[in-house]
Amino acid sequence: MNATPPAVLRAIVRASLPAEDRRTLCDELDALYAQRVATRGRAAANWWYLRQAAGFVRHSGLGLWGSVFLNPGAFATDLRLAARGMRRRPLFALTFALTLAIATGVVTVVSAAANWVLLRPVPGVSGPEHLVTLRLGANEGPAQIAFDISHPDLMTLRERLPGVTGVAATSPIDVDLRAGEGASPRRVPGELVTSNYFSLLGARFAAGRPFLADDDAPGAALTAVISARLARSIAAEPQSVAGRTIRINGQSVQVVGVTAGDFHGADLPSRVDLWLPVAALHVANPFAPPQSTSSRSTGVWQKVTVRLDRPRTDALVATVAAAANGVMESVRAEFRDGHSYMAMIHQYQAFPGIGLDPSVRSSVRKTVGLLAGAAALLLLLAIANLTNLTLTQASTREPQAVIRYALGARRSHLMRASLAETVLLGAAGGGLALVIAWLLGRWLGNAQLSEFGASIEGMRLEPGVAVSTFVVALVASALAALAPLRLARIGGIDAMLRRSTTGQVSGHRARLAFTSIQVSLSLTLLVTAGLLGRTVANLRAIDLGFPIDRAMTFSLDPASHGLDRARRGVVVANLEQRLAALPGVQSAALVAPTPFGSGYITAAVYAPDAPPDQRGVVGAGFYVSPAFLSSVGVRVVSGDAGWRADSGTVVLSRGALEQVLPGVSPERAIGMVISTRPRAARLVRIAAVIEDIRLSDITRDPPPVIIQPLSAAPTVFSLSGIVRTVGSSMSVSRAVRAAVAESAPDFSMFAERSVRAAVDLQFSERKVLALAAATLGVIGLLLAAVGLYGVVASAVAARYREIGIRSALGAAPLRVAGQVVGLGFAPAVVGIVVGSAITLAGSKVVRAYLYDVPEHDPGTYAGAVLVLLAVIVLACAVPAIRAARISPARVLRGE
Amino acid sequence: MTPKSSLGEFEHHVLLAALRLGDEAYTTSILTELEERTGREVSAAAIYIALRRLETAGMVTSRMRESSERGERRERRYVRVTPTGIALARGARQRLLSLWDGLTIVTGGHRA
Repeated sequence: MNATPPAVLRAIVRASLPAEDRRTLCDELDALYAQRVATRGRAAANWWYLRQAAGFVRHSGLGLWGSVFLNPGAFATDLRLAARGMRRRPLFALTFALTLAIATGVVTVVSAAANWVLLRPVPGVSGPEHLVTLRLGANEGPAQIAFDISHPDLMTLRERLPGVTGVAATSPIDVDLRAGEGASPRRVPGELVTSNYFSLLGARFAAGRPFLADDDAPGAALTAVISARLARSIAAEPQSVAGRTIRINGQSVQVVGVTAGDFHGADLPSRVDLWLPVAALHVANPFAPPQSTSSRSTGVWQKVTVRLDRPRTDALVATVAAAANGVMESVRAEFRDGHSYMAMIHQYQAFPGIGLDPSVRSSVRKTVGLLAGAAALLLLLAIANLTNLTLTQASTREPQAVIRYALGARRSHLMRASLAETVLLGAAGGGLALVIAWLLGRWLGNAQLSEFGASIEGMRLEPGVAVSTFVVALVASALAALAPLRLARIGGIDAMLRRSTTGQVSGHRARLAFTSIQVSLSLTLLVTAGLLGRTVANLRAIDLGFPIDRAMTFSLDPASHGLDRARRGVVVANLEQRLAALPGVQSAALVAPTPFGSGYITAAVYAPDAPPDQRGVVGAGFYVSPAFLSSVGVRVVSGDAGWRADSGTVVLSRGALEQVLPGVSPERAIGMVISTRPRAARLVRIAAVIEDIRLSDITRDPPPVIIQPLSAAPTVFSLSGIVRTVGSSMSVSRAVRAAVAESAPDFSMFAERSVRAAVDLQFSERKVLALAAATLGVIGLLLAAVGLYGVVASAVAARYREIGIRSALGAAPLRVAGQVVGLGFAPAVVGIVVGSAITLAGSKVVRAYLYDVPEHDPGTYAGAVLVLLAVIVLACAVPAIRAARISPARVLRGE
Repeated sequence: MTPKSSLGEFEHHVLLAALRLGDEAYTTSILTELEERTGREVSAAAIYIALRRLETAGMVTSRMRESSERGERRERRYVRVTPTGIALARGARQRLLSLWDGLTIVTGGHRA
């Protein structure tokens, strides 16, 4: 007699019974079950109990699901009926599906982007869970700065690091590639790698072979491995490129292998298309000292990838870092003659896995997190809105439901019909969401998320993401349908009649609450958009000290071609002359290093009479060709405005002059002599003083700027052209390209863009965020407006008679309209107050992205509130006008 | 609810079983009674729902009562058929009998 039914089934029976009979009936069934076990055996009793449980499910509140799963045919009929119903209410169906689609689409794209940037496995790499990235960093100071590791130090690390199956290293090298005679040179992102790199990552090959240890040996024949993508761009048959000779930086190199599939190295985003072994170091960098690979004092490798003998854990990563630092200490002790660990502050830092560069991981994570937060807010808003919509629908269709109930329809049938509608709308919304996600994804795939290349270039919507879009849409619409389902508990005809005579709308209070939530969420989005928008506007309004429009820039890499000072001078003079002669060009100059980015070369100047131990004035140094001042359009304070970059002269910014020769006026400084080396070792004459300019990081105060002739520069790694145009910035780009091809046929021209675009790249991340926040804000605003309109309109419909009677009793139409607007204002004001509080509390999340605008900026808040109020008034205006026009005569006739 | 003027087949069965059981009518005893009499498996849920419907229609009343069974004290919802229920059952029987009257084909007359 102790037999009890299976616990799961018993729980189902319990759940489907009303509370008052739950215990007693369960006990009764238990007794019957025990009887059946005794008479017919346990299996038969279990089978009987299962059927009993199914019966309870079918008949109970759980009957909704029961009737869906136990009666798919009827559900299909419900779906058909729902589809017919949608055709009768196209506005509702469209609003619902669009709201759902926009929110879900945005969430999908953001999650796809997060997946693409942060979570996606690096393509073509096997066993990534065994990999750890090592970098040499300073144990103080910013994490972004990494130092190069010498080749012998790497070899020692490889020999002595315990618990690993392999150690490989890479360094980025961008090269000029010419695939064949007649082909024009192009810039290709590449990597210098150790020969074991491909086997360590488990890369597969479409043709040829990876590097062998022999390829690393000094004096070995020059070899390269290229990606399938690059091979495809060279020949129709990618495999045929293996074995061919290509020209890299003007030198002939044999392609020994073509990697398979999507392999583009260990980094994300996957941009690397070409790999060279360390023996080809001089191809990549002709100025590398001859003993580069044998000296411990010359850094070669930027990043080390380690494959562990077991899957990594956080503790294991820390152990690897400690072990690597142990090796470094022993190297310091053994090789006192100098090694690449230039100072004691250097130590190895270990990062789990490969992929996104460790220095940008946290900032990218923050950006993606912020976007995800905004998208989640939008989804919440959409769900609130959908709930509101379905509530309105449920209340307007309540009489119909009550009549069906009175005619004998089961409650579960009514709920099943409602569920069918939800499923239908969810599927429609999901389908539309996919389209939106695909379009948005394509657009974002072409955008650059940050200056450091954490782009979502090439992003694709993967099948998994597409499926989850659909699921999110269905879940969101099911969530939206939950509230009406609860409210759809029908109290019978009398309850409905009571409501219809008092003009009360079912769930009205819940809908007001949802409207408040919507308003508060859209306020948060609007304020965020406003703050970021102002940041971008502030950044674009910064006075750089020169006119930013009507100028273009491009880059060349003379160092990779091994040009010495004299040959470089010829190329530069020739190019400047050709560029200046182009129609539509006002003036053109060349400058090193590339300006308008966030970097510069530090340069120093010293007063000639300064004591030997005095530190010079350190600032941003630029080496320029003769027409630089006029091409950039710098404001010259004093001296030679037509300075031609004559040797032995220098141009200082006002800030640099004030520091190196305090108290000397710009006018008096002209012709004075200072030194660019300590102890007056290299004297130069001040030819001009210019206003402070921001040629590098525009958000910092202008540094002291020291401009010298290009001929004075030792090695020039990146050379940029600045072309001031008569018409629009990019109008001359084709002619510029032709001029470069004529003056320097082996050189590839890259990073070709307007100066405005080059400067904007510094804050592209904030631009993307501002645009995303603005888009989300506008969508949120629209959603809130639609929601509010729904609430007010249905309230007016429910009070039709009341309003008519009041008009008949003499209420002025304006007063009636005012009262209707007031109906919408109450929840809106609550929403604004709550939303302001939430936004104020959470605003520190965006603080790091703001420039020259406080996160509690009253103007932005006021602006957002005003916009919101205006939209609220508009949303209420239509029902208000309708209410004011209600004709008392018609209402009274209906009485 | 609108007052019921007729009984469905299953409700009819439940009502009759309750009448048979008298003071001992509750969900599972009705279930056992019906299964024994009809030889068909019956769902407890269907009886439960039918009893609630009959109660709403005023054909049965129910109350919780404790009873002692093999020394165990048990609380159950017992039902009792009301005079309205009896009247309706009687009406249903009359209608059925009048329908059966003279149907010799089924009851074993000439051409069986």
